Amino acid sequence: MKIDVSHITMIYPSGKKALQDISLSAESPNFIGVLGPNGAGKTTLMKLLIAGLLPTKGEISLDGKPLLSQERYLKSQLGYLPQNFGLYDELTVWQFLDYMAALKNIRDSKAIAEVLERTNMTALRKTRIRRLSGGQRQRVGIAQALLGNPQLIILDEPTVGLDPEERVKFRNIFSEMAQDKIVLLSTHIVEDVQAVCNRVLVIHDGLIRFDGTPAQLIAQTVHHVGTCHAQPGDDAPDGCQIVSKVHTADGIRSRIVAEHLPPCAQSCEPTLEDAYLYCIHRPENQKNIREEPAAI
Amino acid sequence: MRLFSLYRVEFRRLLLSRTAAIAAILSILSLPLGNLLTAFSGGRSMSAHYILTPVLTGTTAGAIVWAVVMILEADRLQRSCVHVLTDAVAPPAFLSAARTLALMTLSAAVTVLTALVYLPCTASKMSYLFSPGFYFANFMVFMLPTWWVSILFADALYQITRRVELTCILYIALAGVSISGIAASDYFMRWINPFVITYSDGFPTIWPLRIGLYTRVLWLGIALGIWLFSILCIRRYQRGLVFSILRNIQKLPVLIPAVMFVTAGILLWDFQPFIDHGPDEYVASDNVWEIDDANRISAIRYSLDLDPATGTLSAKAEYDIQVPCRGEDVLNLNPGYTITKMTYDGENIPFRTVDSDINGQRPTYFELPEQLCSKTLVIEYSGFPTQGKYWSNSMVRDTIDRDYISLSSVAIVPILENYYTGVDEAAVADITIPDNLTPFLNHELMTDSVDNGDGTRTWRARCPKYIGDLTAGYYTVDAFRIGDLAVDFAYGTAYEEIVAKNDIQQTIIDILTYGTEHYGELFSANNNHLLLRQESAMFGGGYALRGVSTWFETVLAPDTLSDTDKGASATEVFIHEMLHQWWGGLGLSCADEELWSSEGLTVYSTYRLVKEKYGELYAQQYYVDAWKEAVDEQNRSFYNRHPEYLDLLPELYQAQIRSANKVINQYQRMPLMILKAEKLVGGEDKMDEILRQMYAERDQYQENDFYFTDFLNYLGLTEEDLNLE
Repeated sequence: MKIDVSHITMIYPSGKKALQDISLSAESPNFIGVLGPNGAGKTTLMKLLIAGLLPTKGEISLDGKPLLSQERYLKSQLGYLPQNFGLYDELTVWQFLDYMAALKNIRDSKAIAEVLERTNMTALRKTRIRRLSGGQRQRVGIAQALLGNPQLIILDEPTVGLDPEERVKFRNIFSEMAQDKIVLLSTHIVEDVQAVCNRVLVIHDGLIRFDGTPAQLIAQTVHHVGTCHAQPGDDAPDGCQIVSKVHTADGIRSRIVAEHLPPCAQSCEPTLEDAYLYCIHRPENQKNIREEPAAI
Repeated sequence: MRLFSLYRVEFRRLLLSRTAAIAAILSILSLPLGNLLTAFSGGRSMSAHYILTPVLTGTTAGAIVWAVVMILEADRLQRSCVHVLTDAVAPPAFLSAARTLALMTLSAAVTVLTALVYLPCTASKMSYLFSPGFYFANFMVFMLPTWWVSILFADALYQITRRVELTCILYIALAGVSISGIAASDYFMRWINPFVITYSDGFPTIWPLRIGLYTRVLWLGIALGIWLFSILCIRRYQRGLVFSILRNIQKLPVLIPAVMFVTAGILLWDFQPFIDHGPDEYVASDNVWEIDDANRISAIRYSLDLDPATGTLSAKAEYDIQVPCRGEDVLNLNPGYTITKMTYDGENIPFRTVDSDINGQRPTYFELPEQLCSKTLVIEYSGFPTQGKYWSNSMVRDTIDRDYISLSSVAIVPILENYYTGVDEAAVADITIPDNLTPFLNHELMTDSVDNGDGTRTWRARCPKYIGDLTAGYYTVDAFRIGDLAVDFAYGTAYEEIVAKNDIQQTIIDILTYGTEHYGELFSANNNHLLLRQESAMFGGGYALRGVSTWFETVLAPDTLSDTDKGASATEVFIHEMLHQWWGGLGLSCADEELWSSEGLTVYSTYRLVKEKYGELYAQQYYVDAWKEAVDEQNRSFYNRHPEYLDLLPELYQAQIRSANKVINQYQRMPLMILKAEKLVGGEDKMDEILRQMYAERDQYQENDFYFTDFLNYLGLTEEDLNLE
């Protein structure tokens, strides 16, 4: 499977410009982590990829053909977990997955048993959904997305509400699945991306700020990360973004990223989180997209 | 295949839905409400009481309930955000269609379940009058299609508006048109509350089911068309209505079927074959026919073949015309019939039928060659008889069914206005009907017949130029004599058990003997012959003519015979009803006032007859004392003692109390007043003399009813004289 996004611009009827002239290409196997602050345009991109929205400009193609002409094929190959979703509370976990399986035209009940096993929900298969906790509901959402071994998996904040152990388990499951598929994982948890993704996409203000491997993202941050000491009440040095603060006997030790580290800072080895912050705060990425009037 | 797969999962999900379960329970429980909320259906026949009223109540209540479920289910996807999962993997239009079809299937299952739940009770109550086929047909004809129409409308409105409150408002408006007075007696406009006058137990007719099915199909067509259009309104790509329609039109080929279904519904409405297309009211004709004495018919032969399977008539009318009319001539026929051929002296003659229905008739114009005398005019015609629009809301007058036939006037033969026959019985009619039906032609029992050996029998009778009335049904005819008077007592075979159990034949003898002795011979008795015929409840009332007196079917209904206002036993209630032959529309036509009506005289007469039959003690206990007790109770009532408080009650309660007061006034207070009058005028004999005089002079009151003041004038008393206080 191959997806090509070519010069996509998305402006909502309200006038909000969500994406601006973005292009990307992905081919199986590929595990792409999508990073970006809230409102950056990640969810819009995902909705465009599942044909839930029509782009204002540009074209998306699936295996070389326009996506809209391939909608039926797309739906048959898609596993999608949106950021916010609902479930039929009156159904049991099994019944709901059976329902989703039927929607996906999956007739083999083994597929349901398999995803239940994978998502650690087998013991809860007869439990009504209304009795599940938030995390358990999230697992049902993941299970339905994995049903039928889809070739394109799009996950929007899938590990929200999961405990750390489950989060690790799920990201490993996603990683396994990505061996022969395209998986798009939108998350705020940089660690997850670092752990499993072979490609990172940083989106900010509707633009793709970075598209490459995690190592490349880190590499471009070398010499832009450092630590410095300060006293409580001191402001951050000009042009610096504080990544973390640690209170010590000498005061506060801050980890900072900056285009030019201040003299007081001591350069250190960057992490992906540092790299992400550096990417979205570097001066050339600070130009905001202006809001345009509503389309008539 | 995809749609079926989606439908299957949606249906399975609905089976587990609590909302759907509640809807099913409410729908089932709504049926008995009909008999609690009176005036939902008109009749008191067993079929009306135990089948029609519950089914119509369940139909309307269920339609609203299922519409609510549909709206909730449609909105639920959006409200609970399940659609973000489902829309990603299945086409939203297919999913919506599957959901609606699944709900329709569930409602069909609930219809069957409802019918099964009430089956034992209904069968037990109706006993030998119960017909399983007729019972289930009512559910399938009225309830199920109406629920489906309601579901389709609700879903369509939601898909178009995508807002629950707006959908509800539009649905209420749509239902309101059907339920409100605008469509009060309109068979076609009432989509959510089908209009059925009543049912008959003894003379069942499927006419209401026929028109019911037709109107349901009509509305299903319209609803399906609108629903298909609404599929195009399903929002795509988070865009608005217009954009979504334009996108969906390219992918979903439903626009043409949608237009076709709506058009089919409208055409079915416009070309419906049940009610004529004339004015709602009776139109008095301005035509003054100047018939030339020379235009004479010497003989007429009618050959009528009635086919109950299709409800149609195929007929031939032959007129031996001595001298034809000059210029263009006209005949009138039922608008449902089509003249297939018209010949004169063996030659086809041109004719034109004009679509201007008036009073249940449609004119056809033709011209005979006036130089050709003493030739035969042959008119062949056939079709399904329509009901006259101006009476169709009160009775079913023209119908051809397997179990009951009723035709009148132009629904039997053409009316040629411009000819004399010269003799009373110029026509011979051959009428072919199923061999198990007993026919009455022009209110007389037909006696001369030939068995055709194919399940039909051809009856022959001489009759006047026009046949005014043809009735056939499952009748039992008991013939007996009262002195010189030969009585044919014709009643529905279904009532044989009731007639035998209550010794109705002997009761009739008692009534006719008593009534004739005390008030005078029934004017309908003719040449020492009287036909007393039970009329179908569908007909809307009884009538009296020379030689025949009909009475309403429900006189023998168990509900009527157990009405203690009218008598202490079923036999006495029957006495009461038959005494209406003297006191009521068929005899002395009494006005219906707060206190005065035909009931006062009839209850008093019943008391007198019972007193003569069972003795003074019995009559005192079950009539006079019972009247006094009821009147005393009425007098003691708080609201009657303090009417100022009655006015403060809600209108519904006021109406109930006033209605109960009127019943006591007419059935108990007035008989007591007449009893007082009897004493004041000089006793029973004197009273009988006055009543005899009143009945003899009844013709004076045919135009203007007989009022209480008229009665007081006959008595020579004032209202104060009869005051009971």
